[in-house]
Amino acid sequence: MRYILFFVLTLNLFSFDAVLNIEKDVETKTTLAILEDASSAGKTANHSKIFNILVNDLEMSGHFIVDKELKRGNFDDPLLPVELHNKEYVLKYRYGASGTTLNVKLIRVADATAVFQSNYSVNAMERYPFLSHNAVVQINKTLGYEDISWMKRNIIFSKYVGSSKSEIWIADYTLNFASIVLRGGLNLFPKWANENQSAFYYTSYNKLLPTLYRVDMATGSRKKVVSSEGMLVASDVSRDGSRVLLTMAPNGQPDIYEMNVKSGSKKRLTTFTGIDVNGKYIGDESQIAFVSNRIGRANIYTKAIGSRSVSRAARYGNNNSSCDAFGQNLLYSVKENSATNIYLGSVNSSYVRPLTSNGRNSLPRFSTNGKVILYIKQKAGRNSIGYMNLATKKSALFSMISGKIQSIDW
Amino acid sequence: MRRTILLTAATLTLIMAGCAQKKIRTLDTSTNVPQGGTTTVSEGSSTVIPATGGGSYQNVDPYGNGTGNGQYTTGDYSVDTPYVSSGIQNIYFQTDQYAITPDQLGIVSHNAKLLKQGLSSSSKVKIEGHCDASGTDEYNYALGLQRAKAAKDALMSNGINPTQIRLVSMGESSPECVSSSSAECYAKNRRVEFKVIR
Repeated sequence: MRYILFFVLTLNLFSFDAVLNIEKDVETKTTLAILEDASSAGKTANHSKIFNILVNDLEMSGHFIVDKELKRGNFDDPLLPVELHNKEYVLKYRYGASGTTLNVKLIRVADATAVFQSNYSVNAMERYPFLSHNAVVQINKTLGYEDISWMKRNIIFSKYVGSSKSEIWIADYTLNFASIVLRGGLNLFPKWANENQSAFYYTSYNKLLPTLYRVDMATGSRKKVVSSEGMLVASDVSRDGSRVLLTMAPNGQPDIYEMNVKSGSKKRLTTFTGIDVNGKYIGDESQIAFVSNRIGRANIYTKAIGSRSVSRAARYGNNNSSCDAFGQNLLYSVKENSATNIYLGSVNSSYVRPLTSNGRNSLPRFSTNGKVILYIKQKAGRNSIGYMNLATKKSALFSMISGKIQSIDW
Repeated sequence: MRRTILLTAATLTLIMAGCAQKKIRTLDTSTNVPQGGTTTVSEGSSTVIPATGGGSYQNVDPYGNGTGNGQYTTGDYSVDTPYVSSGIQNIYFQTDQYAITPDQLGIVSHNAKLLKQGLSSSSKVKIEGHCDASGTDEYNYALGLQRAKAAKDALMSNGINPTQIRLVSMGESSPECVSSSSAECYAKNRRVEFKVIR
């Protein structure tokens, strides 16, 4: 009898979560209202936009329930309006008349204390969205939430603007700031060269031999890295920036190589006679994930650098032509009838989960902390950049005005 | 009996621990908000990150004022201008495939004959591989290159010197058909082009 009792009571003792099953209950989010300083309101066209960017940033973090009604008041006034007393926090802000500064103050309503305040500036008015992104990152950190530094990074992408013509752009994640950094002919596959985004690689297809260049963002100087007949792509960069995974085709045979940035030496990592592309470092960067058609159609595989052994990594789909990796987690695009969807998987388990369900979704990318993904969505002839917070399930889509995105990095 | 009670109590304790909610963060949600009127804010010091002092600003812009607007490089255009010899034809491929189908091999032989007649010793044949817009671009560039390689092998078997052949993949960057994303339009984009560079 006692053994039956023991068995029944322990039936549900051990349950385990699937990978990345971290969900935040609504009850643990922070309620917050935003109050704009009335004296500086409306000075520029961006003044009406920055409120929306603040709301979007706070919501995208997944940690806040934001009152979307814009309130105005005095930034320096110690009094808080009555109607805001039902919120946990009030975020006061003053966006300066020059359009390049932002003052913020976070007031905890319960004891009427300013728990955080800071002032931000940018060098050019067009980069004003970064004022909001940086403020929200620090506010989020102040309240003890998980880091969301991905929000203040620049994205870099190439887009086709005509036959054999493309441009390389940088932007904030919402596309409220976007600026061309390189134009002229066919320049593709931009990739940040380091963690602090002070340089990027790209491939020029303007001469007979595709050529990889590295551009320094501060000086604009461009340095040739390597040329290769056929095709050349910088697919991934190691965390310390010292190694680059390249897709090269010296004899017309596309394979993955690892290049030491300092010495320029290259090591061939794949030897299959078909297609091996899109190498991504996984785990401690002693292994790579990559796309190959070695069993007839594009799919995702892994191998240890230096080993000949290859394992299939994608547990779903039989036409998977792009991937990204973070730790042991894998993102890949799956062609399914008329749609292409993004799936989240793991290289060392059978876990798989769809993240999109319609349209053409491709080029998935993990954020630097692996908790948010970026992807490109094409629907009804329109390109959008989509984001999904894997932990909080928050998502957003930002439309491009024109052009088709060819490649993107974060 | 006593052992049964102890066993049950221990089991219940384990269940309570095992079923504990996974919490990422517990927020201080003290609700001691004064009722009515306005609330006076006191500046300073009770928690967490200290305020940035005075009027000093954190510059959160990693780039200078002149960054962007295509000011870094304008790219370098091709100094070799390829052209298509009269009579040279494109060849076309099935979806996701890079093998030359039997019906296309005749076109390659015809191209090889014209090239042998027209190529000088310093000329090169640039073989461009192209793809339709399905699939991701990096994979498409590789697919286009495999198509170009298949065409190179076919030209070589028809007597063209491999040292006079250059391969490049254009992926989906230069579609022949842009009018729609129909199967017929996509079929026109899955191709190899043969160009002569003098």
